[in-house]
Amino acid sequence: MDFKKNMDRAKMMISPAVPPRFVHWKTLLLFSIVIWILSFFALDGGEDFIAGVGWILITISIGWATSLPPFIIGKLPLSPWVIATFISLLIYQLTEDTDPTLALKAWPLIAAVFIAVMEGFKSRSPENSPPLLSRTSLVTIILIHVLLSCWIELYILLVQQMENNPELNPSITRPRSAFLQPASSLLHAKNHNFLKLDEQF
Amino acid sequence: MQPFILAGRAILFRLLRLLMTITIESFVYQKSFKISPKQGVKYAIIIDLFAEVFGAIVFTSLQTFFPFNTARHLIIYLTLDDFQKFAPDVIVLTLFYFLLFLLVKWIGLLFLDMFVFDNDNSVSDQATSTSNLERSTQWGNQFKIVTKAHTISYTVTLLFVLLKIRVFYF
Repeated sequence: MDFKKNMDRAKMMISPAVPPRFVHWKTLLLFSIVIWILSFFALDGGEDFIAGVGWILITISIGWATSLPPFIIGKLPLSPWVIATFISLLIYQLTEDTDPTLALKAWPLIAAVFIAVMEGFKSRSPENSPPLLSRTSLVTIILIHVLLSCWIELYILLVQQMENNPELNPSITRPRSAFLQPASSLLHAKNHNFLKLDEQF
Repeated sequence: MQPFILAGRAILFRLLRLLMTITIESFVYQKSFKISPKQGVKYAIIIDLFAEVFGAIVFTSLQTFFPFNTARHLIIYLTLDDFQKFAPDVIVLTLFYFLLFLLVKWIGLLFLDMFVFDNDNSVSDQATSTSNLERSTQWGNQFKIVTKAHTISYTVTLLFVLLKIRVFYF
C-alpha cells in the first residue's frame, strides 16, 4: 500500500518534467542535464567540451520555452533576450581572462541578431506566421540594441580613461571651492589648475 | 566623484539629449513633411538613433587614433560636456560634429525613404505618409528639411549643455 502511494507521489513529482512528445523543449532540457552529469565523469580535457555542448542544449531549450506563452509580452516573445543572455554567459566564460567586458557589449547585438533572424523567418512564410513587427519597428528595435551596445562600450571606455588619467575627472582637477565660484571668474582664471593642465601635457 | 558615477551620468545625459532631439525634430518633420505626429516621431527616432550609433562608433574609433591631448579634449567635450575654455579644438569639434551628424541624418532619411517606408505599407497611416514623403522626394528639399530640424535641435541641446555646465560644475 505504502509502495503504491510512494509511486504515485513520485509520478506526480516527475510528470511536469516529462516531455509530452519527443520534439519538445523539455526533451532538450533533459538531454542537457544528462550531458552535464556526464561531464563530471569525462576524461581530462573532455569535460569542458561536454559541458559546452550541454550549455548549448540548455540555451536552445530555454530559448524554445520562452518563445511560447506565457513568456510573450505584447506580441514579442522573450526568447531573443534570454538566448542572448545564455550565449553572453558562454562568451564571458571563454573570454574572462582576455576581455571580460566583451560579453556585456555583445549581449544587445546578439539579441538584435536573434530578433532580426526571427522576423526574417516569419516574413518568409507570412501565411503561416505573420511578422510580429512592421519594418519600421524592427529597424527601431535593432537600432536601439546597437546603440545600447555602443553606450556600454562608451561607458567602459570613459571609466577606463578616467581611472588611467585622473586629470580627466573634473572633481579631481578642480578644487572644491571652484564649485562655489561664479562661472565668469573661472573662465578668466589664469592660475586655475584645470586650465594649467594643457601646459603640463 | 567616482569615475563610474561620472561615466554613468555622461551616458544618462546623452540619453536625455537624444530624447530632446527626437522631440524637437519630430515636430519639425511633422510640420515640414505634413505627416501625422506619430509618423513624425517614427521618422525622428530612426534618423536620430542612426546618427547616435554612427556618432558613438566615430567617437570610440577616433579617440584611439588621436594623440593624448586631443583625445582628452574629445572625451571632456563630447561625453563629460565639461569645456570651460573655448579652445580652438572645441570649436572645431562642435562644427565637425554638427556637420557629421547633419550628413548622417540626411543619409538616414534617404535610407528610410528607400528601404523602410517603401516596403512597409502594412499600416494605413504609413502608406499615407509615404505618399506625403514622395511629394518632397527631391534630395535638395529633404536636405533643407533635415538641416532645419538638425540646426534647431543642435542649438537647443547646446543651450542645454551650457545650462548643465552652469548647474553641475559651478
